[in-house]
Amino acid sequence: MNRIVIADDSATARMFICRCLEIIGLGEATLVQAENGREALSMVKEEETDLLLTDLNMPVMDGATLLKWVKSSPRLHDLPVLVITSAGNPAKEQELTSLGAFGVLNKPVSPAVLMDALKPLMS
Amino acid sequence: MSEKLEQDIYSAISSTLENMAFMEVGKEVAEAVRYPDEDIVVSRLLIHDPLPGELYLSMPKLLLGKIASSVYIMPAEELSEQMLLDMLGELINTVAGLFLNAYLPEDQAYNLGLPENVPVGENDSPFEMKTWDFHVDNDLFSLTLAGDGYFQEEEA
Repeated sequence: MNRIVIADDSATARMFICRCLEIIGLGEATLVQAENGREALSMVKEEETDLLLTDLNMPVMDGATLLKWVKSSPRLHDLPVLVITSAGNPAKEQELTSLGAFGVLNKPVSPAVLMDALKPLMS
Repeated sequence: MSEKLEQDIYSAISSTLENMAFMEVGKEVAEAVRYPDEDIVVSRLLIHDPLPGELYLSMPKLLLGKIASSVYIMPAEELSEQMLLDMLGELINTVAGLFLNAYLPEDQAYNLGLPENVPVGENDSPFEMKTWDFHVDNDLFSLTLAGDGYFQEEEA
């Protein structure tokens, strides 16, 4: 993967996810951080992106809205979106998967869990 | 107080700190150091539904510095106030999710607000509330749950 966008309003969460990505061998990708869904949307539009990791609860634009925008865009439709949230459960996972999410992980995420979730995307 | 509520609260806070900072949370606080209000920071998170309520996480800055230092892999003295407050917000956010996932039925959706920092002593919720004290490295901190729906068993 060359470029990964991480959307979370918490700098701590973004840093934590970056650390996990580095541990699982994706540290050489360009890791781009966004503080909300709107910022993330701009970032995935401005340059080709291989993966979008997003929180759900964010100001300005939440993760579910971001997911809908991405999946409704012909240009971005195929971008894998992995939701990493503290508010995830089977009901939410089903809802987000039906919206087109590649996967849903609960916080706190760990390198092993992230690795497992991203395995289908990693060559 | 239902045993499940007690257990789910402890499980949420201990899992959060263990997974994020490799820190063990203890429940025996008799010997723990209690810090004065000026050394404490508090974050509040609203639970919108299905059971409206609030969570408050109160932590001494010193302990928060140790946690953030472990997470950021940086010396505590190099961490800014903003980084500490952001850390506290992420902690309460994670605790809330783990708690509600354990406490509510598996297929029950829920909605959380965004963490906000509040002054010490402002946990004067209109709801019924309960505070649990814990410690890490002998530093006392507390988690408060407010919300009438969480304590119905006790009333009945």
